[in-house]
Amino acid sequence: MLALGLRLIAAGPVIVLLCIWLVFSLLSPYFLTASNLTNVLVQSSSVALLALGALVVVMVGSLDVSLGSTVGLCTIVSAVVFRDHPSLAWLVVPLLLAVGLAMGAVNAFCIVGLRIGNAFIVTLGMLYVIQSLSYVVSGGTQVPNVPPQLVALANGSLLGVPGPVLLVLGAGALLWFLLNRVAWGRWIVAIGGNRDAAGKAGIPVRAVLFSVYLIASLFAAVTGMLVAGLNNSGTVDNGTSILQAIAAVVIGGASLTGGRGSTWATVVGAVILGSITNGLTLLSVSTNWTPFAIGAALVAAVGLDALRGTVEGRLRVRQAQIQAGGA
Amino acid sequence: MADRAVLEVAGVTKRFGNHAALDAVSFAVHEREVVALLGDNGAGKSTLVKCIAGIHRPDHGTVLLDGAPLPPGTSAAGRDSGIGIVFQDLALFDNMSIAENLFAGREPCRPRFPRGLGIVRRRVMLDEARRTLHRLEVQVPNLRTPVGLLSGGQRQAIAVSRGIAFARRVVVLDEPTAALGIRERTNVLRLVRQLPENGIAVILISHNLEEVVAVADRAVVLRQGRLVGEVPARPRTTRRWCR
Ligand SMILES: Nc1ncnc2c1ncn2[C@@H]1O[C@H](COP(=O)(O)OP(=O)(O)O)[C@@H](O)[C@H]1O
Ligand SMILES: [Mg+2]
Repeated sequence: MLALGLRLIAAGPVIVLLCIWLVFSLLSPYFLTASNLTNVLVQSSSVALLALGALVVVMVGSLDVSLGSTVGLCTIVSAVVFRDHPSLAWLVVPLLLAVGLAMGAVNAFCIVGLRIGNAFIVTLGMLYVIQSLSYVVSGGTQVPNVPPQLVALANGSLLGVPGPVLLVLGAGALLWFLLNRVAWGRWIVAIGGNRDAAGKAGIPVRAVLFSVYLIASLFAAVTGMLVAGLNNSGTVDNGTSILQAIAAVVIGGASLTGGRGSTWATVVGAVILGSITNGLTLLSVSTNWTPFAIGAALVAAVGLDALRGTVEGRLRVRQAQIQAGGA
Repeated sequence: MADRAVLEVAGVTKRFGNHAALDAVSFAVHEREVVALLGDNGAGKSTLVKCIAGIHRPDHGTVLLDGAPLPPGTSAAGRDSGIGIVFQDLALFDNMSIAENLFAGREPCRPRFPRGLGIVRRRVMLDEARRTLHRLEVQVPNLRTPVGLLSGGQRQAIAVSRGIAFARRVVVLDEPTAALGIRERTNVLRLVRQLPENGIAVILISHNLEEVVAVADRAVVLRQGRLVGEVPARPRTTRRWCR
C-alpha cells in the first residue's frame, strides 16, 4: 500500500497533467485536438529547455536565477551578429554556446572559486549584470531578425514532429543520460543528497559544482537559440522566464534542497504550465488569471512533496519494524 | 614483520581557530592489530579520523601508510591506497541506492579514464555489491532500495560494509556501534574481528568498554586533543584510563 502510494506520488506530475488535460478537454472541445496539443508542446518548449538547465543546479541544492538573462543575451547576440555580420551567421551556434559557457563560468567562479556563499544572491546579481550586457549589446530592448538556421530550427519539423519538441526531447535525453548513467552525473546527484559525504567519498565536489553552472548556462544558450528562432528577434529577458522554469522544476517534483529531481518530470512540469496557459486562453479566461493558476499549481506541487515526505517516513518505520520482527 | 607500522600518525596538530582539536598526536597501528581510541566527547577523535582520511589537512605532522606520507586534503588518495573509514555520521546518500552508496566515488566505469566521464557499469556494480554484502553476511532488502528508506541498523551496516569492504591495509571505525541494538552491535563487532585475520589493521573508536575489551589489543586515550595514555586493553586499566 505504502509502496504504491510512493509510486503514485513519483508519477504525480504525469497524473496532474492528465487531470488538467481532462478538465480542459471537457470544457473546450478544441483543447484535446492534435493541432492544439502540438501548440501546447511548442509553447512549452522554451520553458522546458530552460527548466532542464535549472534542474541541474537544483539537483545540487542550489539555484541559478541568472539563466533567463543568459537566454535573453543569447537571442540579442544572435540578432546583432546577423544584423552586423550576416556572413558570420553560420557561426551563431558555437558563438552562443561560448556566450553561455562564459556566463556560467562567471557564476561558477564567484560561487565555487571565490566561495561567495549564497548562490541565489550571486546569480541574482548576475541576472542584472547579464541583462545590462544585453541592453549594451542591443542598444535597446529588441533587435529584429536572427540567422535563418535558428528560424528553421524553431519553425521546422521532422516527420511531423516540430523542431522545438525535438530539441527538448534531444536535450532531455542528453541530460537524463548524464544524470543517470555517467559517473559525473551520479556525483551531481550524490552532492545534492549529502555534500559532506560526497567529499568523504572522494568525489571532486568543487569541480562537479563548477561544472553544474556551466552545464546550466549551456542549456540557457540553447534555449536562447530556440527563443530567438521562435520570435525571429533578439529580446532582452525581463527576468520572469527563469521563475517559470524553476516553477516547472518544482512542479516536476524536484527537491530544492537537492538530490532529488527527474529530467522527464521537469519537462512534464513545463508542459503543465503550458497547458494551463493554453487552456485558459482557449476558454477566453482573462490572461490576468494565468499567473494565478500557475501559482496554485506550484503550491499544490509543494503540498504533494510534503505528502511524499510523510509517506516515505512511514514506509521507513514499517521497514524497521519488519526488520526487527523478522529476526 | 608483525611489528611493522601499517598506519602511523606522526605529530599531528589540527587547530580550529585558536582551539587545538589535536595537539601533536603520535601513535601507530601495526599489522593485524586492533587499537581502540578512547576519549570523551570533544576529545578530538573524529578530527583525528578526518586527518587520517585526508579530509582535514593537519597544521603540523603527517599521516604515513606503510612508511610513506599520505597526501593531505584528498580523501580519494587514502582510500585508493587501502584505507577504509567508517565515519561517525555514516556519510550516506539517502537519495541513492544501497549499491550506489557502497560504490560512491569509486564507481566501476567504462571507459575508466578520464575519471568520472565514463558510463557507470551498473550490472557490475550490483553484482559486486551483492557479493560484498554476502561475504560480510550483511542482510539488506533489494540493493536498489534508497538508503533513506532503511532502518538505523541497516544504514549503519551499509556504512560499515562500505568502510571495510574495499580496505586492504587499515580500517578506521568512528563509533560504529553507537545507537545500535544488541544484535546489530554483535554483527558489527563480528565484522571488526574478521579484519585482523585478513591482515588488516584496525582503529576502533568506541564508548563501550565491554566492546573495546572484547576486540582490541591495545587502547590509546585522547584527552582535549592530546594523547594521554596507551594501555593494553585489559578491563581494569582501560576502565581507569577512561575516567
Ligand atoms: N569543523 C570544525 N570546526 C570547528 N571546530 C571543530 C570542527 N570539528 C571539530 N571541532 C572541535 O574540535 C573538538 C574535537 O571534536 P571531535 O573531533 O569531533 O571530538 P570527538 O569525536 O572526540 O567527540 C571539539 O571541541 C569540536 O567542537
Ligand atoms: Mg566524534
